[in-house]
Amino acid sequence: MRIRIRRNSEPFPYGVLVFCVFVSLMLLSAVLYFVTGGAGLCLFHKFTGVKCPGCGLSRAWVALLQGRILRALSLNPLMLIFSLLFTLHMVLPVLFRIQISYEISGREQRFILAIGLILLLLNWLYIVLPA
Amino acid sequence: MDSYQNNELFTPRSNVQPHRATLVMVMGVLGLVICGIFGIVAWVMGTSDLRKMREGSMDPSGMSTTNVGRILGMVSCAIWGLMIAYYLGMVTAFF
Repeated sequence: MRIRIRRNSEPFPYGVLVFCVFVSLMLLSAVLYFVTGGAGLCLFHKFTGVKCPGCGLSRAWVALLQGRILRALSLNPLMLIFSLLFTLHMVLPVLFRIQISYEISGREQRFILAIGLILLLLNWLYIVLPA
Repeated sequence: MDSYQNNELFTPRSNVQPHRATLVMVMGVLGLVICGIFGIVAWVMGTSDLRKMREGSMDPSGMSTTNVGRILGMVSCAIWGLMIAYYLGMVTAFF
């Protein structure tokens, strides 16, 4: 696996539409969270009655913004790190014109996918199972 | 036969990256079934990979799967947006 960090000439390497959709969905989620008090935003939870792997992410983000890092990590550890990295990945090209790209072989890709799915499952069990 | 094999148009390029179609597809499906954030990831990865495939710097054999994963990501984003709009509508109607 090779990680490449390079300076980009354009601020939106994934397209303006993707960035606008990402920012607007994040802002709308935040508005909805503060208006409703964070109750019942997950469609998966609404239909199945089981929390999804992303449940608790809004609360984790709010806790992170309040500086309560341990509380944030305890709410949804894997998805918080994942979404934090993804947000940085989307924001860095716009603010500093820096783009991070990954070159992974087919074998590494399958390995990362398997490890990622196992971690996601463990994270899901951590969220679903009572403390 | 030799001239066919030696033709530079048909010789595989060594600097071409392998495609990430499976990863994009899995992200798209996870976005649709479980959580919308995976959908945005599928959309971002799909868009950048399709561009690389068109430029010739990535193996184009996974183009259709990558495209399907990207579309699944777009659909999950649309569902996420509709859900937020529905909840916001409910909240504003309540007040």
